[in-house]
Amino acid sequence: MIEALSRIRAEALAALDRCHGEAEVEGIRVRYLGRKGELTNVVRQLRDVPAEERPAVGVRLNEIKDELERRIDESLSRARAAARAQRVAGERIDVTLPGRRPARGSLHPIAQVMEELIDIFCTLGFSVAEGPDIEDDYHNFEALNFPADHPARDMQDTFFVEGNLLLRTHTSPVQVRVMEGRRPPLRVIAPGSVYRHDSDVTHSPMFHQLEGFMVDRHVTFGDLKGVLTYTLQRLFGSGTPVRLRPSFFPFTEPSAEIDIGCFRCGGRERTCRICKGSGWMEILGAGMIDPNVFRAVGYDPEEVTGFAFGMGIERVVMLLHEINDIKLFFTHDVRFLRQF
Amino acid sequence: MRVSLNWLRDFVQLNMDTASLCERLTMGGLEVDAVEEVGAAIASVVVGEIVRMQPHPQADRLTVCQVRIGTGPAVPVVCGATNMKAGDRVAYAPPGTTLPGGRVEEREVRGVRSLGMLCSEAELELSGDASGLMILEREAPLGERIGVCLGIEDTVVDVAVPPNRGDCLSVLGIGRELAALAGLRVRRHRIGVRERGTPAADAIAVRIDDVSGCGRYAARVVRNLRIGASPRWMQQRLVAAGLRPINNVVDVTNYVMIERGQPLHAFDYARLPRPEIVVRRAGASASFETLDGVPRVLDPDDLLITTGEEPVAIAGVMGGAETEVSASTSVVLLESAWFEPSRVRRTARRLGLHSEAAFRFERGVDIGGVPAALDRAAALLERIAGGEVARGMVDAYPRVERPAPVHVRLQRVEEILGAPVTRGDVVRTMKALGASVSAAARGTLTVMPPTYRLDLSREIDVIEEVARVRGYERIAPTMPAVSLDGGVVPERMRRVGGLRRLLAAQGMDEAVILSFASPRLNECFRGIGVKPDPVLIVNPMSRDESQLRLSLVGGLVTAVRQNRSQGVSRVAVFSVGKVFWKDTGPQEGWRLAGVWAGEVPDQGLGGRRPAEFADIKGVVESVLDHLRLTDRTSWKPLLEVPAFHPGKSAAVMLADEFAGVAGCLHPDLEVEFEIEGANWFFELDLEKLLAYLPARAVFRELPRFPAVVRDLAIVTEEQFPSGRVIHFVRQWGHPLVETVVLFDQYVGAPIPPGMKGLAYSISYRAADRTLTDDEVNEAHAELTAALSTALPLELRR
Repeated sequence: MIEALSRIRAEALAALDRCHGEAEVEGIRVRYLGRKGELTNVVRQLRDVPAEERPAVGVRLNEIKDELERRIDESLSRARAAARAQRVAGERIDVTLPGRRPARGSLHPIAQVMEELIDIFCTLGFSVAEGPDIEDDYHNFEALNFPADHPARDMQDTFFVEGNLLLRTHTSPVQVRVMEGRRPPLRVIAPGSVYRHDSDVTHSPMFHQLEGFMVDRHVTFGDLKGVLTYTLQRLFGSGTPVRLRPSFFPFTEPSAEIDIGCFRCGGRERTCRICKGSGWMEILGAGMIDPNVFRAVGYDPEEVTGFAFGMGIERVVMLLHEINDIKLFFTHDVRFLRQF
Repeated sequence: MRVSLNWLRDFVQLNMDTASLCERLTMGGLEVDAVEEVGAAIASVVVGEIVRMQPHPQADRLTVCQVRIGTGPAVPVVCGATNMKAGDRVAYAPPGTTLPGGRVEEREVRGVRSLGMLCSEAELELSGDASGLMILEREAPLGERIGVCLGIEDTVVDVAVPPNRGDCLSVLGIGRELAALAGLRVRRHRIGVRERGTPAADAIAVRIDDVSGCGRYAARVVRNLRIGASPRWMQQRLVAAGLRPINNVVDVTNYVMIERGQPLHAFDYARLPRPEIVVRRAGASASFETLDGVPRVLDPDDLLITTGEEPVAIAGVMGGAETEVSASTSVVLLESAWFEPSRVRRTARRLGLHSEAAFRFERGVDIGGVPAALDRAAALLERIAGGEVARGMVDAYPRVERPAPVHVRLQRVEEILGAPVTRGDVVRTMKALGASVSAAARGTLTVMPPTYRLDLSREIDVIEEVARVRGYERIAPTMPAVSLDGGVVPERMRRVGGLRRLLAAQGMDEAVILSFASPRLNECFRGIGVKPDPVLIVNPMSRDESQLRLSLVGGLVTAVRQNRSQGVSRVAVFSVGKVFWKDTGPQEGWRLAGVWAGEVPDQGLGGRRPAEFADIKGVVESVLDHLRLTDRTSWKPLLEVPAFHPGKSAAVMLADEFAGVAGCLHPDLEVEFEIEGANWFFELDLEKLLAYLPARAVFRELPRFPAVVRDLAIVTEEQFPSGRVIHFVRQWGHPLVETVVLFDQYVGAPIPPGMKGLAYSISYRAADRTLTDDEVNEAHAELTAALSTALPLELRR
């Protein structure tokens, strides 16, 4: 009996060594371990073995069965691994085919820069306010210290709307509206569309501004300089030179134009298309809020001081992206829009 | 303001180069926009002498001149002019010179070598004279640049003068300013007027009836004038300033205006109806012909210069044709006056007459400088036009204007500027600007501004001057110490930002659309949530931009067309913006709109297909979902908006209110706007959508027991809206029904023609137990029975 078992074992192991592929291994399992398999037949013959030999034969039988099962499982894993290796060796996709990606759109460059500015000012504690596009003369001009029949109004060619109204020429009326409704301290920015009767490669009848102002006790011209220098350096890069030069706006005094050093040529190219060789680019207008504006909104200019500024967004975007015609912003050409 | 530096040197000694001068002015608030080198175009043209002349051997009309420009040998120049002779000094352009008319080269002229060119005044653009060569004075130094020799080389800087600085609209004004900024001295000139003959007061009387309109009116009479061209130096300076020389009298008035900022007017004395000047309101005077020959309709409030009855000039704006100086004029009445700025401005604007004079009066001239300007003009007329200045000046100055003193607190200066400023700083600055300064109470100064600084009337004006003249760079940047509250972005803006990102993430490009619309666009696209009347612009740039838009859709239609004209047919664009309409007053509100035109965005191979309603509806649904409004919205066919296709468009209803549209344009409009094809639009009323503030989400327990799904297949008419089944199931409200979803729609066999099959899957679930088959079967049977009774459909097995 023992010999028969050893013979079966030797045959089975030899068959395993010879076989290829998962199917053949499974065939060997059936032939030796299956219900009618050779080893199973031996089990059936066990009752014919004399009782005193039975335990030894039983032990040997189980040893061989376990061994065969183990060896068959191993062969099976090997066969499967070999089959996988063969499959992998044959599987090749064209990785240069285009991806099936969800289409990606774009945010308008004006909106992007506007958001960037809003983020910067929000970190400085400025809150956002908005006002109407259709304004009255009082908020757009008079309360901002533009007297009627004053040449300062020539600085802003106005669209008039029926009913003695106008399209705001700047976002500064939001200053007046916020101050009318609230008391200092105030730190506010006001983004929005503004309108001027003007059209060429750098002027569009509608464009965008970001207005900002701060009113509190002891706000100084030095603060104006500090806050705007910080902001411009965050937008255009730290180390960007910033200079203030005197200017005139009816609603601020002292007033300043703020220039940044040309980030393209640094003032080294006489024919630089960005700065025109001056080395400087005008970026925004600012100043200390005129006492007359405070009086118009019922603040006491002896109690509070403040600064205000206004930035043309298109101009900033044109500089940042070297865009040469303002009309591109508004012609909706998707080949333009998708570049940002 | 164009400023000739040669002229400026009459008033200040310029000890700096042009670049530093521009820097000084710019950093002092007078921005230099441009610098022009006068004479640069003819910089290589030099003085030459014609040594010998001989006729050209091959051409009767040409002469061969031997020209020398120094000690070197003479060179041959072939010349067609005839007005020269040997020994003349002429303008010689050597080969290689580029003249306004072209480049001069060495060349052969009919077999004779010619080295360069002899020039006429016209060829040098010095005048229109092309009749012959420009013959120079005998003393003209050989080899010297023509520009230097004639004194025309000059630098002109174009200064942007802000509207509050009328005092800088003159060479003297810029000189004063530069002196203050650069620490220079202003040269003072004595104006010597030689007076002769009958006193002016005997020849003219001046009366100011409208004292608020005319603060001062001074006049002189100049006799025995010979009208002619003014001398070259004066013409050159006028041209440099941007003015056209006319005749000596007019040129003198302009010259003094540019030099001193005081506009002057010269009347032909003989043509004044009466020897009297009365300054008054126009009142009943209806019309008047100005010297440009145009009859002007007057407003009663216009300020006129009259001889009592007859108007002779519109004060500060333009003189009359009748009394204009002409070739036969021999006696003039010179006017130097101060008119009220806003009066001049109103009239000039109404008449559209933006003269140099009006420009200066509007910005305020120096009332104290009125007589000096008059004297300067009279002296010049005597010098260049042979005039005899009548004795005395008639000066009507009813109320002598003195600038009010300004009190300045030194502490306030530092409070505003945030930088240390001493008493000495303020005193020095203000004195440099021509003010007188005296000490008042402790810590306070009293500043008396000069008469020409009308803008210095308040403490803050003085503070600005201190900062400006000393330089903004001397104020150190500081960061304010503030309370930490703030940094608030309005909820609306924050949520719109989320929507814009959502749409961009779905492949749409953001466009910014101008707020304007043409009448036709507003007629076609009447918007949502707006009244039908558009807001009209009184002074539009064009008819296409004469109204404010009622809807964003018109702009998107234009966007599709513009892209198509560029050969781009696949357009997925959205825009957020305001629309405007008229109610009792103008109203404005935010809208979100988009278009999906052509094929859907590329998604790898085989991703191309024309956009369809489901694409745009999906976009809108994602917006509603983002705002958590899905449960509050419903879709129904859009029948009542004529811009949209009645069978292919939907109204988006938000809690039974019309809150948006989605669909395709009416084919008539597609034809009209040239955008035929698959174009799907939507527009949403953000005011309505954003009025719902979504509550913070409240967590729901995750289901612990499995759902059982049963399918429901029906056959119904093709026109039957599939959403009715879903709506019905939700309304029916069985507690075990969890969701109902349409998963298939099909037509064709075995479904009969005109009918369609719809397949829904309904999910049943209980929160507290696993449902048994019997329970689900019972609920499903109830539901199908209810459905087939309530709706026109048949169940399919």
